Amino acid sequence: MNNSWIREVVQRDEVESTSDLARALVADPAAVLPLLVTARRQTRGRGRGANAWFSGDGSLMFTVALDPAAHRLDPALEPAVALAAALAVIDAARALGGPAQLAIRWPNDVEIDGRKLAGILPERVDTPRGPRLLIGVGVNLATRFEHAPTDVQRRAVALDECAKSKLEDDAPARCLTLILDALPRLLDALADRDQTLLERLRSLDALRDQPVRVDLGARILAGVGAGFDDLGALLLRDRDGNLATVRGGVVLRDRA
Amino acid sequence: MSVIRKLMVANRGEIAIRVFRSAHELGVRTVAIYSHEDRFAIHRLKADEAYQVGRPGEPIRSYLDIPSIIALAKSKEVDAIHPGYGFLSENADFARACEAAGIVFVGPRVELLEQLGDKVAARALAARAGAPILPGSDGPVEPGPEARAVAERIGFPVIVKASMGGGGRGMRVVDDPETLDRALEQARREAGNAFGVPDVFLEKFIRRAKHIEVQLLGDKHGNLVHLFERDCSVQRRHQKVIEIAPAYNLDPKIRDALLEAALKIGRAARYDNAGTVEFLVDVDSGAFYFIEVNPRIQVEHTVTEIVTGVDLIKSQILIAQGATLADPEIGLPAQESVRTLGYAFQCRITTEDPAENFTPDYGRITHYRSPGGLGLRLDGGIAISGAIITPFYDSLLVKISASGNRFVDAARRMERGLQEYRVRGVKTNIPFLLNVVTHPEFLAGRCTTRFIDETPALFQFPVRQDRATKLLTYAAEVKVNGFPNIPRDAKPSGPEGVEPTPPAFDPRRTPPPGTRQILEQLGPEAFARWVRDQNRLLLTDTTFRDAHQSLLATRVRTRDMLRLADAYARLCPQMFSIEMWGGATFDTSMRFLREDPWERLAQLREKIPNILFQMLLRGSNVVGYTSYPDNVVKAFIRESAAAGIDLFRVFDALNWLPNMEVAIDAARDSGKLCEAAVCYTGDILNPARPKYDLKYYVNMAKALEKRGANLIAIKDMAGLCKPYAADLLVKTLREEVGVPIHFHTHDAGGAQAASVLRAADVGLDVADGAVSSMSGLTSQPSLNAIVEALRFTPRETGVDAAALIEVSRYWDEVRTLYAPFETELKSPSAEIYAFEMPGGQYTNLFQQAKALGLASRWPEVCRAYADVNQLFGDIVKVTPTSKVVGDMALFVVANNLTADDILDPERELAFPESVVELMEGRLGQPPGGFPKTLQERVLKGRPALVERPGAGLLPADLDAARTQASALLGRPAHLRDALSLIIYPRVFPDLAKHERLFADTSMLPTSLFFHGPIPGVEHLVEIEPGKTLIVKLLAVGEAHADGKRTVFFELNGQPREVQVVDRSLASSVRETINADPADPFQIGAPLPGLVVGVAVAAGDPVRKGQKLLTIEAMKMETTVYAERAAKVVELFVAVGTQVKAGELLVRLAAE
Repeated sequence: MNNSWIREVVQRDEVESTSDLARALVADPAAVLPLLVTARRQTRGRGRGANAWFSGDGSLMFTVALDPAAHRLDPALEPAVALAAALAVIDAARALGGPAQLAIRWPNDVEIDGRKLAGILPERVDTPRGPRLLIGVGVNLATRFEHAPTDVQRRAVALDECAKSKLEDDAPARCLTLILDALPRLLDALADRDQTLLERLRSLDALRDQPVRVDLGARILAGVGAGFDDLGALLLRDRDGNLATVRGGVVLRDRA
Repeated sequence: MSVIRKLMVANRGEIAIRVFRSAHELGVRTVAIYSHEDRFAIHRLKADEAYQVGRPGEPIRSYLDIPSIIALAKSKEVDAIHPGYGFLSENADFARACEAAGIVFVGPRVELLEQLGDKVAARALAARAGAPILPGSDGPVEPGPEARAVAERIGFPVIVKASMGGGGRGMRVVDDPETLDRALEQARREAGNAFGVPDVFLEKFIRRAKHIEVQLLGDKHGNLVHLFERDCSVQRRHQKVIEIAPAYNLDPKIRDALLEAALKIGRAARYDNAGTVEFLVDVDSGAFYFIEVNPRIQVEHTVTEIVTGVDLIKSQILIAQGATLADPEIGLPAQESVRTLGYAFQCRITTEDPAENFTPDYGRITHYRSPGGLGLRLDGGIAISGAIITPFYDSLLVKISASGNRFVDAARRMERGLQEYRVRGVKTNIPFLLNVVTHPEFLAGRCTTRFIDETPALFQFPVRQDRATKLLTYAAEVKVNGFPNIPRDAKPSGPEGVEPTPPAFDPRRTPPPGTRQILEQLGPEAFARWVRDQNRLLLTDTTFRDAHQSLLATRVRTRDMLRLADAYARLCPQMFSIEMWGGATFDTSMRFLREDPWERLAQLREKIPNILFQMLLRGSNVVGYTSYPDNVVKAFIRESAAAGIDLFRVFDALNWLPNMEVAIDAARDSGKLCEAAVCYTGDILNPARPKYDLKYYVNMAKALEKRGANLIAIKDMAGLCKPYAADLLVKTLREEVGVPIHFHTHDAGGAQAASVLRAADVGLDVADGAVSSMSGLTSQPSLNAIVEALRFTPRETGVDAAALIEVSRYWDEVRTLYAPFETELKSPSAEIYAFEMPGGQYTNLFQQAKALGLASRWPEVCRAYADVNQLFGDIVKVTPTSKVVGDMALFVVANNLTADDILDPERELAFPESVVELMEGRLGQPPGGFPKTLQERVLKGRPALVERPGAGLLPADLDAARTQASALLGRPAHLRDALSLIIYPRVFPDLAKHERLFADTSMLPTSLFFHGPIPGVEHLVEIEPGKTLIVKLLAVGEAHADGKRTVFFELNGQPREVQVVDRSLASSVRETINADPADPFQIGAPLPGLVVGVAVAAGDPVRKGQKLLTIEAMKMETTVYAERAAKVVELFVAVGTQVKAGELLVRLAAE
């Protein structure tokens, strides 16, 4: 791997979850950052909260761990790292022959035609040496879903199903390289609140002008997607025409 | 005789003006002095000349600067200086300086000031004169063992007093030796500040004492008289509050002894000019003791002047010139010349707030109106409209004195004067004074110096209504911030400031008897028989409820109804009933119109005593949207009947009898009419719709009759009961059921008047309609049309067609006031028979669709509505079931779902909450139950109810609700308020808050209520019969830095201002506080996000490192931990709160 900005690489055949391993590794005061953890197989891949990430053969999964301060990321911007990483995934997928309809479903999914291609999970870990940011990425490159739970089958898609040409065997490695190459530049742009980056993100917004319902726990907010703000929060236009800013919560998957 | 030509007053405020007045009457030219802080004071405008003294920042010192004042007086060729009271009035140095400068000091000789001004020396003099003195220290004392020894000798309790002044400053009561030193220190400090000399002395303290003082007046030629006594016992913390002349209820022997003692002291001192000898009378023993002599004019000299007729100030000036008491200008040649007539007493009106421990209030007097008339004397110093009350000086606004032949006459006069007073903009102690002068102890003359401090009842104040200010605040608020859902630029319709004119009627005519009287005579069962017996078709006017609910979003206000009521009762007494309550009116009147629905009922009932009042009741939902416990349903119906409802139309949204039973029984128990409704859906003429066929309706009607309904209503909420269906249905019902049939329909399809007429042909007893101007489309068919149609036929209604036209004309005018709430519907709907959407829902659902971006797919939504109805098993669609169908229809369209998709077990669908509730059985059971597959899909294993939802609900605690309502309202709550709170727990508090802020806005004219006042127009607001306010908006000011605007009005011709917050300038919707980064106990959000977990509660102890809460931002969860062991004091957020970076989340405190 030639990504010179990664200073430590940990590769495994099988782990429970690359992010769990990364979390354990960064707790060590002697950990060297930025750190990359990859695995060929995950047995307990994680999504948000109690959700799981199905990592069948043919999936790419890895976690990058870094010091947010080293990348000028103040805490308010850390959540938006998911959007920046999603952009990196989209560019990589395109380069591998992916279709035109790649889009970002706020806050951290990459989808094709409403079906999930990749998921990104940012996590903040407090260590004695300071806070660490973990970026967990899972991409369905050539994943087979026959053994996946039914709702995953219904909602997920693999790149090779929609790529213009068949994926090479080294697709996972190439994909990883492409993503890692793009990431530092994108994190920089995010720290600078670069408008070009935000424009690109907005142009890939899958929820724009769509009816959206967000579960905020205490209530459900309904409206029409109206883009992102500078910190990556979702904007919703409600029935009275007012803009509401959504920073968290679950966007309900009502779509067919 | 040194004639005084130019007199300066070395004082300010009230006393300065007092002296100027008497000086003017003597033809003396007057000179005022004022400090920089007093440059806007009135006293300087009341003198012939006025000069500033001192420097800015020296409000008190300016009036104490002897050299400057003397220098000024000399330069202005002032002959004499009157020192007033306080300030330099007892300062011997000042008197000496005047003398040295050749200026007459209007007061006693210098040596008298020295001798008597010093309290200790004064006591010595009194003792020599043979007056009994209060045991005390021989001289000033300082903290230490000597003081303690003196105190022990006197005997505790003792009082510490300033040697050089009074007025309560430098005074402390000491009960035991331990606190003596501290008290001495404090008193010395105070005395030093107030009088320039810190000396204090000790005196015996008498527990129950009257404070009686004697006014002396002596000339420079050795003549001395007394002008009787004053009772100054009513004090608060040793400061006089009320002074009475002469003393009321004082033993004449004590009085005589006091007067004699005072004269002895005066003679011993060879007193000249005015002075007061103060005594304490021990109420219990009758003994009296000399306290001090005040060698100056006193604040309360006024009351002596009133009862003796002697102008003391004038006398002072004349005496200072050298006149004798016998001089005709003074008129007191001998003691016998002094007589008292009647009683007088004085109150000091101050800007202290009695409800806040008499803390002085500051600000601008926005409105000032003083009383007058027989027996009232006002001595004001600073109070006029627009005056600014500053914190530099004492808080005296004005002295008010009342007099009368008897003491009680004076007291009544004072009460009147205080009630007449209007001071707005600063608080005053008037409420407190009113309590005092009306208290039995005061009126009996039994007050001691402890009266105020020991009578807590004096501190209970009635809440001042001040409705005018509150209504102005409302007017300002709506002008600046607008009214919800009314576009800001909407112009109120109609001629400016004029309300719709009700039809003319003869007010001397009482309303003729009507159906209400018949019900009272006959009782419900016999009344029902009477209805059946009538040949004419009886009519219910829904204009007051369902018509505007359908056409104007239920927005018509009580006021517009009330203005018609008197005329209506006289013009339309033949109406069977007026539907005026229930349905959505309860919710809307509180939530949007901010008025109490119970008041609407009570006020209309009073004006319309002759026609039945009818309400729509949703089974176990009463007037709300969810099921309530049975005790609430029963209490509600009972209260409604007592408040004036005569006919309860009870229905259930699924036609499910069990949900209606409690309400039916309660209506019957109330002794009023119970009308049970059958909701009409489907088409009885269509054999392909067997679910709701003729037999279904007949069976239900019979069951309801058996249950005890006095009438049966056909509730055709969607206007589906076509003319020939109505014909068949009514005919059959009349055959099968013994009670009268009442038909209610909506004219959405455009042919429903025909249904009414055809039903009338086959014996319908009562029909609902609305007046022409409020009829048609989603409302009821036109009453005017029905009345006209049946004229000259056997079923002629007996309603006066011409009168009904007048009523319709009035509603036509009223309707224009509600233009912003009109729907866009222009014609009857062709599709209602296809979709079966109830009239009121059509526009609401369209608004919902628009909000979801589905406006362009409206035809799909309508089709989905019909499909969903079938999917649900074909149910009755009326509030609230219609809303569930609507929600589901939108859900289906928004997500492009087919019926298969919905039933597909593999699909994860988050069904709308209302659909889940419906399937759970929370709204009841449709005939045949819900389709099982769908129900299982929706519930996902949650259990379904099969019994009546209300049955499982625990009874509500009506008493607790009543207490809570009282707290919210700030006044005792009625059971009706408790019911409003229970049924609308979130809306009622808002209504209560509105009432506290803005008073009762229901009597505001509608255009003012919605749009605010029109600039320059005089709006008349009748807040109660005979009390009309004339409100004119002058201007809305520029926004201040704090986001507020001042709105300028004229109220009854007088200028008034109100400040309101301009909410369009407010920065964020939710007011958030930021954590102080320097305070480790304030925990702030590390990043913006959504609170998804809160692990602690207020009061919890936390360890270092313990999780406090979790914030999620775009799937990234951040946990906030306690950085040290502490205790949680307050949580500012909850699960579901969105927070900004740095926002205060939790406040901790050290353990």
